[in-house]
Amino acid sequence: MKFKVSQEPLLHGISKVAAVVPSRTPLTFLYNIHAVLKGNELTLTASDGDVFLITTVDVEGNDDGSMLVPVRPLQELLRELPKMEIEVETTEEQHLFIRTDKGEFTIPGEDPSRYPAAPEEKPPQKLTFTSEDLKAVLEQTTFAVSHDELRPALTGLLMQFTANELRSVATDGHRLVKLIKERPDADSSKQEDVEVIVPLRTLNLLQRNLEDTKGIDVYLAVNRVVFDTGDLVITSKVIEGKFPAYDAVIPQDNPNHLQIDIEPFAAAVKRVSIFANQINKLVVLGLSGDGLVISAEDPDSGRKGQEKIEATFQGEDLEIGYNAQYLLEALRHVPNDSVDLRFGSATSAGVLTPSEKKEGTDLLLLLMPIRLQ
Amino acid sequence: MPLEQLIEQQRARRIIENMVNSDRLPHALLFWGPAGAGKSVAAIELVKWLNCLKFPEGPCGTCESCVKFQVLEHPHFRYQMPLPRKLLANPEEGELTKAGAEELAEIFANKGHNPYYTAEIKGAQFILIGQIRSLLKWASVRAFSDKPRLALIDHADRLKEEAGNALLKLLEEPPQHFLLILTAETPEDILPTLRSRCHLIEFDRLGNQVVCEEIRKLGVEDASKAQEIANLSAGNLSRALQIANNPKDAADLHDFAVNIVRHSLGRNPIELNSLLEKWTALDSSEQLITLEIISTWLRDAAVLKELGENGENRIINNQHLILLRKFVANCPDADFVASTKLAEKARARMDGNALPQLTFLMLTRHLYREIYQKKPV
Repeated sequence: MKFKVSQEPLLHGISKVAAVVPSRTPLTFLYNIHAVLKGNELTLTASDGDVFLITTVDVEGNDDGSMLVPVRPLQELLRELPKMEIEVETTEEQHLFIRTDKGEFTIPGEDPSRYPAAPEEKPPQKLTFTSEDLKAVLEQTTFAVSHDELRPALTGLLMQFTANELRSVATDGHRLVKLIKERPDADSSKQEDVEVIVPLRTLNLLQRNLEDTKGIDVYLAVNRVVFDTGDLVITSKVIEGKFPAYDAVIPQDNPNHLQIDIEPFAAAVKRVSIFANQINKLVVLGLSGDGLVISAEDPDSGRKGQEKIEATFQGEDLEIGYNAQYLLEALRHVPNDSVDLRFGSATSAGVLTPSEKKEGTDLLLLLMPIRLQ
Repeated sequence: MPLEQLIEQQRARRIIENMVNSDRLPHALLFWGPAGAGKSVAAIELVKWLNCLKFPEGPCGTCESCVKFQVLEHPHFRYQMPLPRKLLANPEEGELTKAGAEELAEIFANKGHNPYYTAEIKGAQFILIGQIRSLLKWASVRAFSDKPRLALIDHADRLKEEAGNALLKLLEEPPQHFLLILTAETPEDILPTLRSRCHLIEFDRLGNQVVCEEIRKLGVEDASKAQEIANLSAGNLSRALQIANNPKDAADLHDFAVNIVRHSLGRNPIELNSLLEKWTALDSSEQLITLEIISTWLRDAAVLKELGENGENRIINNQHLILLRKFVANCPDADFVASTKLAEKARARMDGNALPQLTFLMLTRHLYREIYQKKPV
């Protein structure tokens, strides 16, 4: 393999894929980048075994080939080089030889056949999203993904693609987020309904790479999902298992309705939660026709606090307890100035929705209450 | 040929092949039998066969999948074994430290080179919950292909209780195309909740002659030396390889081990002190080998005591039969079964990074008590 390239695009390409390289693994070949040169196109692949990041760099190719080279020394060298043209070549001993106008550097590489491969062909099921839409989906849902390995299906985001909409659902058993994005421009005749549970790590990597892109193609199959941002392809394994029937746990007819501005509500919850028990972070919402009283008490330290806020409430007087952290996180992810909260009883799930629905978007958050003594 | 790298073990081989050929392979297996019999070798060979691109023939040994299993780099394979806590950056999540990753990489390289290589890390006592959590995480992600994946848990008898309980989830709700294999020396050492969900397959101790032939194939040219090593290894091929790679003469290690037993009974402080000094000077693998020799010696004594002449064809140290007979005759009150357990316990303590001096002193003192049935003076 032999090619000439400027330092800048090569460093850019390597930095893009290097984010997935594990820092400590007994599978030492994963510390490498797999580089394949075909004509004037250099394809760089990095992986942690489950997620593959693939990008291409335009080079002046002289001799096609492939190699496996440790990412860290290569990335560090390129960072320290000024903007200049460099010559890259592989030797028979699978060493990477880099020549600049003033220096020569050798990095021992490895046999490229050791590297794991992601399926090359993209799955036939293809959908296209704008960067903003996908970014909004990730921002509003991933916070509720579970970290409990004993419930693997919950450790990812359920993405259900249908002809007309994308439904994204995340839950950790205490809270649930459901976001529906309509896809009016989609060609329904070409689409089959398909759903996958995408690991959180894949979504985090995708989120980091949505900044400079316009449209993202998403390819789906039962065993993988591929996100193509134009200059980066993320191929990821998906989580196996059955996502719980989430619709069954969403109450449809909670009669008690609170409408409140998010900012003062969140600020008050934050203040009162200082006085909450540090383990369960319990804050109690006292709902009545007079408005809302937020209170908290820590019997261990004797601290207590309460605050009254104006709000519109319709329904029976009610006291309901929530984990302050979950409540604040839910409020933070409602993209609106005010929120509608609908309650059933003190022990049943409360539902949060933005007071003003954004066109083509339907967001619902569900919070399980803490049982009051 | 299926399970090609597995030496002997006709019975286990037949059971496994029948399961595969009749498409009735359970999702969880417990391979049990003496150390060095080839339990982990059989597990890896099995999944290599199932993943071979030429399955049900093969494994061919040449396709990309076979080659990757050969060097333990196949994405369908995960291995867990007892690790010292210090090698985990986050014991709750099973994340390795840099040293931990390097140590395991070396074990994989050695085991890839020789499947009978003993995977053990000094100071490792238990398989921790974090290791199982990381395994569960791996298991929950669907592979690109539908070929079976294998999670191999070596020394599953050393699963911490909470780790074992976490593993239950995987046994109860296994992912598709997934195989879990546990290994242990005896099934009783496995948590009953795990054991009852596994299909048990027993592995036999390898004969001395088989071990002798294998180490000769691996470069021990001198036939008598190979035989001596095979006798010392007590059917444990992994241990035989360790002894063969040890610069110390195998016969010297054997004499030293038997001397420890003899002087434990003599209780001569000068002799014991001299042995303690020699013991301390040994490296840790030699200390482990010595304890294993003591263990097999006492086991042989127990067989001779129980079965008399009828047991002579069952003893491991058959080249020292006369000495063994004398030893048994001189200790009429001895509880050799309890004594064997003492030596095994000492070995387990050394595995757990116990102080060698203290292990030696406790062993010699307790051996006296079990053999003479009275407290040492």
